[in-house]
Amino acid sequence: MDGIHDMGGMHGFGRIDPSDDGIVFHGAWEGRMFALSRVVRFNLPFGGDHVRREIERLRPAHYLASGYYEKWLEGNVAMLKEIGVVTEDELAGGSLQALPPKLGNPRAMPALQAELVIFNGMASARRDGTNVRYGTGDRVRTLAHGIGGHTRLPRYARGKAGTILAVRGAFPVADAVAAGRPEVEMLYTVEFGARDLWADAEPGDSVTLDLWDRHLQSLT
Amino acid sequence: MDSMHDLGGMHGFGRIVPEPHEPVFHAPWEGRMFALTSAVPFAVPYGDDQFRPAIERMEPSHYLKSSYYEKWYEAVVRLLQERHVISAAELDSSVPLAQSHALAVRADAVLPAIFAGASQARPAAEVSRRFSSGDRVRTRATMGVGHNRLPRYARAKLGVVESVHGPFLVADRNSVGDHNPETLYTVRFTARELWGQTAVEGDSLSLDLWDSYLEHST
Repeated sequence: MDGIHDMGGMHGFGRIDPSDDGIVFHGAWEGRMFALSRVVRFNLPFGGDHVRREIERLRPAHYLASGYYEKWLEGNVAMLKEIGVVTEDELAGGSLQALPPKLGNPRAMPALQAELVIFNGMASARRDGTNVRYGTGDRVRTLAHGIGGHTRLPRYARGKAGTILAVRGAFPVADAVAAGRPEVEMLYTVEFGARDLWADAEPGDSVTLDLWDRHLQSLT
Repeated sequence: MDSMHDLGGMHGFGRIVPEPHEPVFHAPWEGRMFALTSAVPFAVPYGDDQFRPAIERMEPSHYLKSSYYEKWYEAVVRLLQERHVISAAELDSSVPLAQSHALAVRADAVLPAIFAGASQARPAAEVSRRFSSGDRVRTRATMGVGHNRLPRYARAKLGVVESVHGPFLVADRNSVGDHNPETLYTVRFTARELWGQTAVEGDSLSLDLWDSYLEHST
């Protein structure tokens, strides 16, 4: 989805001010939101790719006016509503009205596991064998067009020539996972000359993106 | 400038709902804004190629929340401020602090000028004409940070020259005071070239593009 989130290369947003670096959370609720987002989907059928998909669907003006963790809240709430864990009425009223449908193992997440997930994240690498089409140094071109749904190939890198910098192994394809298909493909780090992406870029600068097999075509 | 206005092909803005029996102006102030926008350049010269970039430089979330004539208002105010005709203090207080040096406009001169328009054509200019109708062309892959008329969705795309219009002022350069014209062409693109295989086969889209936006494609 080429929504408002796909801002790479767009102008007019002003200078990025990195001066508040070092402040992890700007309010206590942000830390709480961070922790909640890591544990809320324990035993629920959604992950980060679904939350990203939902964030991308926010109304554009609302998206631009929302803080980072406000978007996390929106994305997680949208998924909890979609799978039927909470309803609009419950959110508005602030209290549980009916028990949610049984979704997998109803066991609560043990505190120790929650801590591990919060601090270490969850690896998504797979061991399944999959077709390795490219090797380091191969020239590739990215797809010229996006797809309707969630994708990790940004607009500014469409139809561009790049070089395989690293072969990362087999990973679930974010684009497919967000669409409800748990497909696995090889993931590659692809390097692009910044000048190929933006006319006014510094010569010698480069941009690297992690892209899946389906995003790439051979250029040789 | 690839800013918020360059929305073509972006998703997530919802369905376009045409307003039934849409009036020309939704409120009297819109008509007044239209007239002001046409009248102000008599005293403080600007054309579409200065007016459009002034809109494109609006803060993105402000841009998205503003209606059509609100954007016109923002652009006119910005241009008047940049040219020191009015100051922020004057806008806030509604009281003029200094006598403007801008020339007053005679009322009877405005209407004929609005209807006459201002042509960007420069038919007498001698400019290169690299392409002819039927030529296959590819658009430039990247544009700079300034105003331009090649939208993001039509970069590095293959098209066919549909017609040749002769020399016209180039919006990019005219916006910064360079009045050298170039040949202008209408270039047709298949919808599938622009949007991929999900577009309807047979649909096409045409853009008016200048010579320097294009290269030959075999």
